[in-house]
Amino acid sequence: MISLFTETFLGVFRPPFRKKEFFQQLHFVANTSLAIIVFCVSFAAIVTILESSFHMKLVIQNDSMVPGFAAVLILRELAAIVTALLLASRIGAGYAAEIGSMQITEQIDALKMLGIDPINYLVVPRFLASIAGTMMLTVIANVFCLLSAILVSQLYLGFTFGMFISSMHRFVHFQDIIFSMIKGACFGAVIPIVASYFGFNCKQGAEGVGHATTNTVVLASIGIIVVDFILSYTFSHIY
Amino acid sequence: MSIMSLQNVKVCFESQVILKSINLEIKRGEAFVIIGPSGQGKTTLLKTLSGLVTPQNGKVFIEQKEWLTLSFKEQLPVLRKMGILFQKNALFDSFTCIENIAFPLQELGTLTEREIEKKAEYFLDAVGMAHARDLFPDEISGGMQKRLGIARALALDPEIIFYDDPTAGLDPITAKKIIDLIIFLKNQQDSTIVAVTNDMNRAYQLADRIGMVIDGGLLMTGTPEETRNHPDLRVQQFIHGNLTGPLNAMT
Ligand SMILES: Nc1ncnc2c1ncn2[C@@H]1O[C@H](COP(=O)(O)OP(=O)(O)OP(=O)(O)O)[C@@H](O)[C@H]1O
Ligand SMILES: [Mg+2]
Repeated sequence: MISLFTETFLGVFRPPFRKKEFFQQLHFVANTSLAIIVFCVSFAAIVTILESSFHMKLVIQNDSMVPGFAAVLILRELAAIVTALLLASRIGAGYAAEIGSMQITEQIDALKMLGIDPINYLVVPRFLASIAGTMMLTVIANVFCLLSAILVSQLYLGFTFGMFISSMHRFVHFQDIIFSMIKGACFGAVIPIVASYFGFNCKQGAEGVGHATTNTVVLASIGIIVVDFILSYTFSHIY
Repeated sequence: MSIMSLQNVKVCFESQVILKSINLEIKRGEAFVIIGPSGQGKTTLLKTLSGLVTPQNGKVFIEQKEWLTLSFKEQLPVLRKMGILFQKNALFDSFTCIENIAFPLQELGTLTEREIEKKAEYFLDAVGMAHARDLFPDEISGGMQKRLGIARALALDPEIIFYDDPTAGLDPITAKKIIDLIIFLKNQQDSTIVAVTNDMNRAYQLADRIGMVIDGGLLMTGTPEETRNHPDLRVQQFIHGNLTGPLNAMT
């Protein structure tokens, strides 16, 4: 898998550059996943803010800091990770099944025999599209998270829009947004590499493809969480 | 002069030995037909010759180059001289028939769109598939898929063509048409051919030399005449399709 990553990474800089495949894949990543991601992250944000308000009130009888906390949590962690985990199952499984079935129907061999490098043709466009797509979706997820948090805190917790923003101001830094995008990019890189690895090593039969997809979702999710930990740890030193 | 050769080649899949110590030379311009019972490694041998399967042991030479030491970039010019029809066709299922043929031509990057289209149409027509131009592979019959596979294999004007079981699963008339097409193409282009088939009549018709794979080894190689008269009982049983004989013990 490490060698697949290195080859893909180097392949990014090698021609031919496949714009058409890249945009096809970007469309697949971004467009088809947008609705489900917006839906899920919004609810995750609502739960976060309601829960933290409830506990703050319980413990220190004061929830004035909740919007700030929630905003930090959303920007630093929630939006990026929920997006990435959803994409891991959505596009990770898709890629693994696609490449896996190409492997068992000998289409990968056919590509090689026609002088087409499967990494260049299949993996690199997916790799780039997944990075770009996950970054974009993370930004969108952040926006929707904050919007739903604002809405809920207005409706149920009694914070006005201005209160929310000023509370947020105290906690949130501009770096948070950048870091969130970096996280998105790294998560986006994990998914296609894991998926391609299991796809290329897919065993014969429908069962083989099933294994490849399951393994991809499991390992990509674990990978994302580990990468998340490493990145959060690194960023905490930069603040 | 040999165009491909295997030296002491051993191929395993997960501790299961498929080919053990194969030595084989294919001469330029020759038609070599691989026969043998199912599951004995014919496809594996064909894929090893084409450089797709990496053996655990031994050396593969293609065009005098030691294949396994080359990078993909170094392999590229040789790969473009080879065409292959896979046993399961391996058509690109997200492309239409014409796109399947046009795709490798586009990848060459040396032809204009117009030239590519003309060439793809020419090959589609040559295998009698012009009417299926814009259909997808899963919308056409098995015989048509085979023919499309052949057209794609021929698209790059290969000097070496591999056919893995070109008549499997086809009715006798379609099968004959396909073999006639293969022989016609061979006479026309004097390319080197490696084919797998179990249809003995077609094998005799096509082959300059026949090799029989049994139990991971090449039991014999020889002309069709030598094959017919081979003293080994297993060869005799196989080519006559007898139900009783020494081969039963193995499968
Ligand atoms: N990719 C693979 N992974 C694991 N085992 C394989 C693989 N390809 C082939 N085998 C095994 O190798 C053996 C030989 O297979 P091969 O496809 O070469 O046989 P064959 O002679 O072409 O058979 P058939 O006439 O049925 O096509 C079989 O037992 C098969 O199970
Ligand atoms: Mg076979």
